[in-house]
Amino acid sequence: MLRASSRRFAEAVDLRAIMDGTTDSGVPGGAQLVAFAEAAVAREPGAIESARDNLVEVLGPEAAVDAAGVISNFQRMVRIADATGIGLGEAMENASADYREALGIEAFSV
Amino acid sequence: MIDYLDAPLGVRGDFAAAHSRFWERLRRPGTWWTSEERIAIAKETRTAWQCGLCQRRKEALSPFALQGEHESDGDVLPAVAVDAIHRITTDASRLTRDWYEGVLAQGLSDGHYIELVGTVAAMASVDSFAIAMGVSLRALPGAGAGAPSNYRPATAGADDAWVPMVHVNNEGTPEADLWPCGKTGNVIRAMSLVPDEVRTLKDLSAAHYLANEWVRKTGVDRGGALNRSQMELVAGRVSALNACYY
Repeated sequence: MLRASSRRFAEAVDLRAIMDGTTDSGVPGGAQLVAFAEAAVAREPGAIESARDNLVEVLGPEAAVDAAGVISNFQRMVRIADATGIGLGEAMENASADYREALGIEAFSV
Repeated sequence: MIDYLDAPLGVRGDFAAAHSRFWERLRRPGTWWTSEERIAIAKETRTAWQCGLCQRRKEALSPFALQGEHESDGDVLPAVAVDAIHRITTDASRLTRDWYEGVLAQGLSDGHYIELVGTVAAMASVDSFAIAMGVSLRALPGAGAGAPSNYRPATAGADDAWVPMVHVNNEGTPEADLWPCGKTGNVIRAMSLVPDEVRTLKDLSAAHYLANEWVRKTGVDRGGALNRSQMELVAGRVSALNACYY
Protein backbone atom coordinates (compact mmCIF):
# COMPACT_ATOMS: atom_id res chain seq x y z
CA MET A 1 0.00 0.00 0.00
CA LEU A 2 2.94 2.34 0.67
CA ARG A 3 4.25 1.76 -2.83
CA ALA A 4 0.84 2.27 -4.40
CA SER A 5 0.10 5.45 -2.47
CA SER A 6 3.55 6.92 -3.15
CA ARG A 7 3.07 6.25 -6.88
CA ARG A 8 -0.35 7.84 -6.73
CA PHE A 9 1.14 11.00 -5.22
CA ALA A 10 4.34 10.81 -7.33
CA GLU A 11 6.49 10.56 -4.20
CA ALA A 12 9.89 8.87 -4.10
CA VAL A 13 9.72 6.33 -1.29
CA ASP A 14 12.32 3.77 -0.26
CA LEU A 15 10.38 0.66 0.73
CA ARG A 16 13.40 -0.74 2.58
CA ALA A 17 12.40 1.51 5.50
CA ILE A 18 9.61 -0.97 6.22
CA MET A 19 12.08 -3.70 7.08
CA ASP A 20 14.97 -1.53 8.29
CA GLY A 21 13.91 1.41 10.40
CA THR A 22 17.27 3.13 9.93
CA THR A 23 16.67 3.55 6.18
CA ASP A 24 15.46 6.98 5.10
CA SER A 25 12.03 6.31 3.64
CA GLY A 26 11.80 9.67 1.90
CA VAL A 27 8.41 10.21 3.51
CA PRO A 28 8.12 13.58 5.31
CA GLY A 29 8.65 12.96 9.03
CA GLY A 30 9.38 9.33 8.21
CA ALA A 31 12.19 8.90 10.73
CA GLN A 32 10.04 10.27 13.55
CA LEU A 33 7.04 8.18 12.52
CA VAL A 34 9.14 5.01 12.40
CA ALA A 35 10.73 5.78 15.78
CA PHE A 36 7.30 6.27 17.35
CA ALA A 37 6.05 3.02 15.83
CA GLU A 38 9.09 1.11 17.07
CA ALA A 39 8.78 2.47 20.61
CA ALA A 40 5.05 1.79 20.75
CA VAL A 41 5.37 -1.79 19.51
CA ALA A 42 8.14 -2.36 22.08
CA ARG A 43 5.85 -0.91 24.79
CA GLU A 44 8.68 1.17 26.27
CA PRO A 45 7.10 4.17 28.06
CA GLY A 46 10.23 6.35 28.10
CA ALA A 47 11.01 5.73 24.45
CA ILE A 48 7.36 6.30 23.52
CA GLU A 49 7.25 9.66 25.24
CA SER A 50 10.50 10.78 23.66
CA ALA A 51 9.48 9.58 20.18
CA ARG A 52 6.05 11.17 20.51
CA ASP A 53 7.60 14.50 21.53
CA ASN A 54 9.96 14.36 18.53
CA LEU A 55 7.06 13.62 16.22
CA VAL A 56 5.06 16.52 17.63
CA GLU A 57 8.01 18.80 17.00
CA VAL A 58 8.31 17.76 13.34
CA LEU A 59 4.72 17.09 12.24
CA GLY A 60 2.56 18.53 15.03
CA PRO A 61 0.32 17.11 17.78
CA GLU A 62 -2.51 16.00 15.48
CA ALA A 63 -0.04 13.92 13.46
CA ALA A 64 1.18 12.19 16.62
CA VAL A 65 -2.40 11.27 17.55
CA ASP A 66 -3.11 10.04 14.02
CA ALA A 67 0.11 8.00 14.10
CA ALA A 68 -0.89 6.43 17.42
CA GLY A 69 -4.16 5.47 15.73
CA VAL A 70 -2.45 3.82 12.76
CA ILE A 71 0.07 2.01 14.98
CA SER A 72 -2.67 0.58 17.17
CA ASN A 73 -4.81 -0.28 14.14
CA PHE A 74 -2.07 -2.51 12.78
CA GLN A 75 -1.37 -4.04 16.17
CA ARG A 76 -4.89 -5.41 15.66
CA MET A 77 -4.70 -6.34 11.98
CA VAL A 78 -1.46 -8.33 12.24
CA ARG A 79 -2.95 -10.49 14.99
CA ILE A 80 -6.06 -11.17 12.92
CA ALA A 81 -3.96 -12.13 9.90
CA ASP A 82 -1.56 -14.33 11.86
CA ALA A 83 -4.22 -16.05 13.98
CA THR A 84 -6.41 -17.00 11.04
CA GLY A 85 -3.81 -18.14 8.51
CA ILE A 86 -5.19 -16.10 5.65
CA GLY A 87 -3.55 -16.22 2.25
CA LEU A 88 -2.55 -13.05 0.45
CA GLY A 89 -5.21 -13.50 -2.21
CA GLU A 90 -4.43 -13.45 -5.90
CA ALA A 91 -4.48 -9.68 -6.39
CA MET A 92 -2.13 -8.92 -3.49
CA GLU A 93 0.11 -11.86 -4.31
CA ASN A 94 0.62 -10.62 -7.86
CA ALA A 95 1.02 -6.99 -6.86
CA SER A 96 3.59 -7.67 -4.16
CA ALA A 97 5.63 -10.60 -5.48
CA ASP A 98 8.63 -8.53 -6.55
CA TYR A 99 9.18 -6.55 -3.38
CA ARG A 100 8.21 -9.37 -0.95
CA GLU A 101 11.26 -11.21 -2.21
CA ALA A 102 13.48 -8.16 -2.46
CA LEU A 103 12.69 -6.84 1.03
CA GLY A 104 12.88 -10.23 2.76
CA ILE A 105 9.20 -10.38 3.70
CA GLU A 106 9.11 -14.01 2.54
CA ALA A 107 11.03 -14.85 5.73
CA PHE A 108 7.85 -14.12 7.70
CA SER A 109 5.95 -16.93 5.95
CA VAL A 110 5.19 -19.72 8.48
CA MET B 1 -17.79 5.52 28.41
CA ILE B 2 -14.14 5.93 27.49
CA ASP B 3 -12.47 9.32 27.21
CA TYR B 4 -8.91 10.54 26.67
CA LEU B 5 -9.16 13.85 28.49
CA ASP B 6 -6.06 12.89 30.51
CA ALA B 7 -3.89 12.45 27.40
CA PRO B 8 -0.92 14.80 26.93
CA LEU B 9 -2.21 15.68 23.44
CA GLY B 10 -5.75 16.45 22.32
CA VAL B 11 -7.33 13.22 21.05
CA ARG B 12 -10.01 13.49 18.40
CA GLY B 13 -13.40 12.32 19.63
CA ASP B 14 -13.90 9.45 17.21
CA PHE B 15 -11.29 7.37 19.05
CA ALA B 16 -13.16 7.58 22.36
CA ALA B 17 -16.46 7.00 20.57
CA ALA B 18 -15.27 3.86 18.74
CA HIS B 19 -13.59 2.48 21.85
CA SER B 20 -16.72 3.15 23.90
CA ARG B 21 -18.81 1.25 21.36
CA PHE B 22 -16.44 -1.71 21.67
CA TRP B 23 -16.75 -1.57 25.46
CA GLU B 24 -20.55 -1.61 25.04
CA ARG B 25 -20.23 -4.72 22.85
CA LEU B 26 -18.19 -6.39 25.58
CA ARG B 27 -21.05 -5.71 27.99
CA ARG B 28 -23.39 -7.72 25.79
CA PRO B 29 -23.30 -11.46 25.06
CA GLY B 30 -21.48 -12.23 21.86
CA THR B 31 -22.18 -14.88 19.25
CA TRP B 32 -20.36 -17.69 21.07
CA TRP B 33 -19.18 -16.27 24.42
CA THR B 34 -21.14 -14.65 27.24
CA SER B 35 -20.38 -11.08 28.29
CA GLU B 36 -18.56 -12.39 31.39
CA GLU B 37 -16.40 -14.58 29.16
CA ARG B 38 -15.75 -11.79 26.65
CA ILE B 39 -14.56 -9.50 29.43
CA ALA B 40 -12.43 -12.34 30.81
CA ILE B 41 -10.82 -12.62 27.34
CA ALA B 42 -10.16 -8.87 27.40
CA LYS B 43 -8.58 -9.07 30.87
CA GLU B 44 -6.45 -12.02 29.83
CA THR B 45 -4.92 -10.03 26.96
CA ARG B 46 -3.53 -7.64 29.56
CA THR B 47 -2.24 -10.42 31.79
CA ALA B 48 -0.46 -12.07 28.85
CA TRP B 49 2.08 -9.25 28.62
CA GLN B 50 3.32 -10.09 32.14
CA CYS B 51 3.23 -13.88 31.69
CA GLY B 52 6.58 -15.59 32.35
CA LEU B 53 5.73 -18.60 30.18
CA CYS B 54 4.92 -16.31 27.25
CA GLN B 55 8.22 -14.47 27.69
CA ARG B 56 10.16 -17.74 27.70
CA ARG B 57 8.27 -18.99 24.65
CA LYS B 58 8.92 -15.74 22.82
CA GLU B 59 12.65 -16.26 23.32
CA ALA B 60 12.57 -19.97 22.38
CA LEU B 61 13.51 -21.22 18.93
CA SER B 62 10.05 -22.78 18.68
CA PRO B 63 7.08 -21.47 20.69
CA PHE B 64 5.77 -25.03 20.87
CA ALA B 65 8.85 -26.48 22.56
CA LEU B 66 8.08 -25.11 26.03
CA GLN B 67 5.23 -26.41 28.17
CA GLY B 68 4.01 -24.85 31.40
CA GLU B 69 1.25 -22.83 32.98
CA HIS B 70 0.31 -19.32 32.00
CA GLU B 71 0.00 -16.62 34.62
CA SER B 72 -3.74 -16.27 34.21
CA ASP B 73 -6.31 -13.81 35.46
CA GLY B 74 -9.10 -16.08 36.63
CA ASP B 75 -10.97 -19.30 36.05
CA VAL B 76 -13.78 -18.17 33.76
CA LEU B 77 -12.13 -19.43 30.57
CA PRO B 78 -11.00 -22.94 29.60
CA ALA B 79 -7.24 -23.51 29.51
CA VAL B 80 -7.22 -23.86 25.72
CA ALA B 81 -8.73 -20.38 25.40
CA VAL B 82 -6.23 -18.89 27.85
CA ASP B 83 -3.35 -20.40 25.88
CA ALA B 84 -4.77 -19.07 22.59
CA ILE B 85 -5.22 -15.57 24.04
CA HIS B 86 -1.67 -15.48 25.35
CA ARG B 87 -0.13 -16.77 22.12
CA ILE B 88 -2.13 -14.43 19.86
CA THR B 89 -1.30 -11.47 22.10
CA THR B 90 2.44 -12.06 22.49
CA ASP B 91 3.66 -14.23 19.59
CA ALA B 92 1.04 -14.36 16.85
CA SER B 93 3.42 -14.52 13.90
CA ARG B 94 4.60 -18.02 14.86
CA LEU B 95 1.15 -19.63 15.01
CA THR B 96 0.57 -22.50 12.60
CA ARG B 97 -2.31 -24.37 11.05
CA ASP B 98 -1.39 -27.44 13.13
CA TRP B 99 -1.63 -25.35 16.27
CA TYR B 100 -5.04 -23.98 15.20
CA GLU B 101 -6.33 -27.47 14.48
CA GLY B 102 -5.05 -28.54 17.89
CA VAL B 103 -7.10 -25.78 19.49
CA LEU B 104 -10.23 -27.14 17.80
CA ALA B 105 -9.31 -30.70 18.84
CA GLN B 106 -9.20 -29.49 22.45
CA GLY B 107 -12.85 -28.50 22.23
CA LEU B 108 -12.95 -24.85 21.17
CA SER B 109 -15.32 -24.41 18.23
CA ASP B 110 -14.24 -22.39 15.20
CA GLY B 111 -16.88 -19.79 16.11
CA HIS B 112 -15.54 -19.48 19.66
CA TYR B 113 -12.05 -19.14 18.21
CA ILE B 114 -12.94 -16.35 15.78
CA GLU B 115 -14.77 -14.36 18.43
CA LEU B 116 -11.78 -14.82 20.75
CA VAL B 117 -9.40 -13.60 18.02
CA GLY B 118 -11.62 -10.60 17.36
CA THR B 119 -11.69 -9.65 21.03
CA VAL B 120 -7.93 -10.11 21.50
CA ALA B 121 -7.23 -8.08 18.37
CA ALA B 122 -9.60 -5.26 19.34
CA MET B 123 -7.98 -5.11 22.77
CA ALA B 124 -4.59 -4.86 21.07
CA SER B 125 -5.87 -1.73 19.32
CA VAL B 126 -7.51 -0.07 22.31
CA ASP B 127 -4.67 -0.78 24.72
CA SER B 128 -1.82 0.02 22.35
CA PHE B 129 -3.49 3.34 21.56
CA ALA B 130 -3.54 4.18 25.28
CA ILE B 131 0.11 3.15 25.62
CA ALA B 132 1.15 5.21 22.60
CA MET B 133 -0.71 8.22 23.97
CA GLY B 134 0.90 7.84 27.40
CA VAL B 135 -2.29 7.24 29.40
CA SER B 136 -3.27 4.33 31.64
CA LEU B 137 -5.22 1.42 30.20
CA ARG B 138 -8.90 2.23 30.33
CA ALA B 139 -10.98 0.36 32.95
CA LEU B 140 -12.89 -2.55 31.45
CA PRO B 141 -16.70 -2.53 31.64
CA GLY B 142 -18.74 -4.75 33.93
CA ALA B 143 -20.39 -7.84 32.47
CA GLY B 144 -23.95 -7.79 31.20
CA ALA B 145 -26.50 -10.59 31.15
CA GLY B 146 -27.81 -12.78 28.34
CA ALA B 147 -26.90 -15.79 26.26
CA PRO B 148 -24.81 -15.96 23.07
CA SER B 149 -26.76 -16.17 19.82
CA ASN B 150 -24.71 -19.04 18.27
CA TYR B 151 -25.37 -17.47 14.84
CA ARG B 152 -23.38 -19.03 12.01
CA PRO B 153 -23.52 -17.58 8.48
CA ALA B 154 -24.97 -20.10 6.04
CA THR B 155 -22.40 -19.22 3.36
CA ALA B 156 -19.29 -19.64 5.55
CA GLY B 157 -16.97 -22.39 4.41
CA ALA B 158 -13.42 -23.49 3.67
CA ASP B 159 -11.47 -20.79 1.85
CA ASP B 160 -8.05 -19.14 1.65
CA ALA B 161 -7.42 -19.39 5.42
CA TRP B 162 -7.26 -21.88 8.28
CA VAL B 163 -10.69 -20.69 9.38
CA PRO B 164 -14.01 -20.79 7.50
CA MET B 165 -14.99 -17.50 5.86
CA VAL B 166 -18.07 -16.00 4.24
CA HIS B 167 -17.70 -16.03 0.45
CA VAL B 168 -16.41 -12.77 -1.01
CA ASN B 169 -19.57 -12.55 -3.13
CA ASN B 170 -21.94 -11.82 -0.24
CA GLU B 171 -24.76 -10.13 -2.15
CA GLY B 172 -28.25 -11.09 -1.01
CA THR B 173 -27.03 -12.67 2.21
CA PRO B 174 -27.46 -11.43 5.81
CA GLU B 175 -23.74 -10.60 5.59
CA ALA B 176 -24.12 -8.18 2.66
CA ASP B 177 -23.28 -5.21 4.90
CA LEU B 178 -19.84 -6.57 5.80
CA TRP B 179 -18.15 -5.50 2.53
CA PRO B 180 -19.09 -4.42 -0.99
CA CYS B 181 -19.86 -7.62 -2.93
CA GLY B 182 -16.69 -9.16 -4.33
CA LYS B 183 -14.43 -6.41 -3.05
CA THR B 184 -12.50 -6.93 0.15
CA GLY B 185 -9.28 -8.38 1.44
CA ASN B 186 -8.86 -11.66 3.26
CA VAL B 187 -7.97 -9.87 6.48
CA ILE B 188 -11.54 -8.53 6.63
CA ARG B 189 -13.13 -11.82 5.61
CA ALA B 190 -11.01 -13.65 8.20
CA MET B 191 -13.45 -12.63 10.95
CA SER B 192 -16.61 -13.26 8.94
CA LEU B 193 -17.58 -16.56 10.56
CA VAL B 194 -18.68 -14.20 13.36
CA PRO B 195 -20.12 -11.26 11.40
CA ASP B 196 -20.23 -8.97 14.43
CA GLU B 197 -16.45 -9.26 14.65
CA VAL B 198 -16.18 -7.80 11.14
CA ARG B 199 -18.51 -5.00 12.23
CA THR B 200 -16.27 -4.27 15.23
CA LEU B 201 -13.20 -4.36 13.01
CA LYS B 202 -14.76 -1.89 10.57
CA ASP B 203 -15.81 0.45 13.35
CA LEU B 204 -12.36 0.54 14.94
CA SER B 205 -10.55 0.82 11.61
CA ALA B 206 -12.64 3.83 10.57
CA ALA B 207 -11.38 5.74 13.63
CA HIS B 208 -7.81 4.45 13.69
CA TYR B 209 -6.96 4.24 10.01
CA LEU B 210 -9.49 4.45 7.21
CA ALA B 211 -13.03 3.35 6.48
CA ASN B 212 -12.78 -0.05 4.82
CA GLU B 213 -14.18 1.16 1.51
CA TRP B 214 -11.25 3.60 1.26
CA VAL B 215 -8.45 1.16 2.03
CA ARG B 216 -7.95 -0.03 -1.54
CA LYS B 217 -8.21 3.49 -2.93
CA THR B 218 -4.54 4.34 -2.59
CA GLY B 219 -5.04 7.98 -3.54
CA VAL B 220 -7.33 8.54 -0.57
CA ASP B 221 -6.36 9.66 2.90
CA ARG B 222 -8.59 10.64 5.77
CA GLY B 223 -7.91 14.34 5.42
CA GLY B 224 -6.12 14.34 8.77
CA ALA B 225 -2.63 15.32 9.77
CA LEU B 226 -0.93 12.38 8.02
CA ASN B 227 -1.07 11.80 4.28
CA ARG B 228 -1.57 8.31 2.90
CA SER B 229 2.14 7.58 2.42
CA GLN B 230 2.88 8.55 6.01
CA MET B 231 0.06 6.29 7.21
CA GLU B 232 1.27 3.38 5.09
CA LEU B 233 4.86 3.80 6.29
CA VAL B 234 3.64 3.43 9.87
CA ALA B 235 1.40 0.51 8.93
CA GLY B 236 4.19 -1.28 7.10
CA ARG B 237 6.74 -0.77 9.87
CA VAL B 238 4.33 -2.04 12.57
CA SER B 239 3.58 -5.09 10.43
CA ALA B 240 7.28 -5.79 9.91
CA LEU B 241 8.07 -5.40 13.62
CA ASN B 242 5.39 -7.99 14.27
CA ALA B 243 6.91 -10.25 11.56
CA CYS B 244 3.53 -10.38 9.83
CA TYR B 245 3.68 -11.99 6.38
CA TYR B 246 0.28 -10.71 5.28
